[in-house]
Amino acid sequence: MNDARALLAATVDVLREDLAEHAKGDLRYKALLSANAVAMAERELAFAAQSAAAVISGITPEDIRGGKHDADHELIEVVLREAAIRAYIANPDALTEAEKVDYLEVGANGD
Amino acid sequence: MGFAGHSALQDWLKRTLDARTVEITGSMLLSGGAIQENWHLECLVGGLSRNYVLRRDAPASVAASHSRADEYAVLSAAHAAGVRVPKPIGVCTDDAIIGGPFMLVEEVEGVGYGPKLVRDTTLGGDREALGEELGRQLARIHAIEPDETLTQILGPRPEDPVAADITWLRQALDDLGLVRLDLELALRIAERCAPKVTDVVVSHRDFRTGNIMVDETGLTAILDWEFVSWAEPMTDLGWFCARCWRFSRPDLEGGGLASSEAFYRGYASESGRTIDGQRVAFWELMAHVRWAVIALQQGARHASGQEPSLHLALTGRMADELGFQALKLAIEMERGANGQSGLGAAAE
Repeated sequence: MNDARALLAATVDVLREDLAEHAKGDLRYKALLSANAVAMAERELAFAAQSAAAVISGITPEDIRGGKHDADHELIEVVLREAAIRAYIANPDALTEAEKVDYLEVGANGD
Repeated sequence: MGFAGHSALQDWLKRTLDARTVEITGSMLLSGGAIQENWHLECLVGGLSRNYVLRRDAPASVAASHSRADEYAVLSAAHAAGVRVPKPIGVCTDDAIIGGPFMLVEEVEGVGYGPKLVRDTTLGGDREALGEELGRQLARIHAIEPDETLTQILGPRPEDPVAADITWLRQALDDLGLVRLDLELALRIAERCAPKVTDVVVSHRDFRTGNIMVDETGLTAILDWEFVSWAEPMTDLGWFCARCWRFSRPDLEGGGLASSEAFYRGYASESGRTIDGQRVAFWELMAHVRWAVIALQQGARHASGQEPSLHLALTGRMADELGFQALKLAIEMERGANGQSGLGAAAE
């Protein structure tokens, strides 16, 4: 794990285990919300290299809306894979175990 | 800031309730409501204790939602149609009273927070009976015959509400300046698989777990009437059953609370309509796209600096999960239409 990710992971631990555990009400909620945000940023760094953004950068909404890609099954697969990674970054529970194996090259823990 | 002792509001209440005296003895901002603020008001009306909920716009609201005056008219129509809603008390468009428009309803006892409702089975009474009751209530909403005021609010009945929805969603994405290929592809597939519309009714458009109140015995109120519009009847059923609103019980298709069968049974018995499962599935897909777009709009309120909030920023990120689910549902729908099997069929 690189330095930036290690820093963020350590911050998540502090927010969840040191702060949220001892806070109540609104402060506890804010500590957990912050922990979620930092954990999300850490996952985003982990998957930065795996993004297919470059592959699909030339595709426009207008083309999709106009039907130009209706039979483009390859595009659907690429976008689905990209969407799976983003869904995992937002919420690891959004993917089933089988989907994690299918879509996450670097493993379910982002390592 | 609260409303206890707020003299302008007390005077307004006195006139609206036709009461001899009104004193606001306490107020509290209720949690939830990213689009509207809800305030609990404790009052003494002619010396008797009464509780109300005051509802007004949050600092920034979503474009698709009605004004408070319109929402009040819609709520009143639902109340008159026998839908279980908080009793409407009054609406005020005079900014001089509290600084902006607001509406007031009688407070209803119960719990509304969606994840808690799904998790805590001591709430809501018998869950299958609750599912049936929710189906019956939705059918009553769909039976509302708009009067002149409501007709003005809703606008003309669209011939093709599916096309209208798709146009609105695409426009909303364009307005946000975002390219979301997951949502674009899901919408395009939805457009190609769209069912033919044969019926258009007054629809709630946010009928889901999280917008209902229950106590230990069952349903106490249906809330949040700000998105009411014309729609195909199965639109609301799809929104209620969509996986994204089942919270921790994805196995319970009736909003995480009951079986879809119970919900459908209640709806069919009250409305006389037959439930078309494929049509509901189509609207479940549309529900994911619509919720994703609304989440993106909320995220944009943070990103634009208009209303910096980590909560809004994280709500915006929910669009990623919703986009993935929407695209999966769309692929399944297209596969079903083509008679294929297996999620990977799209790539075959």
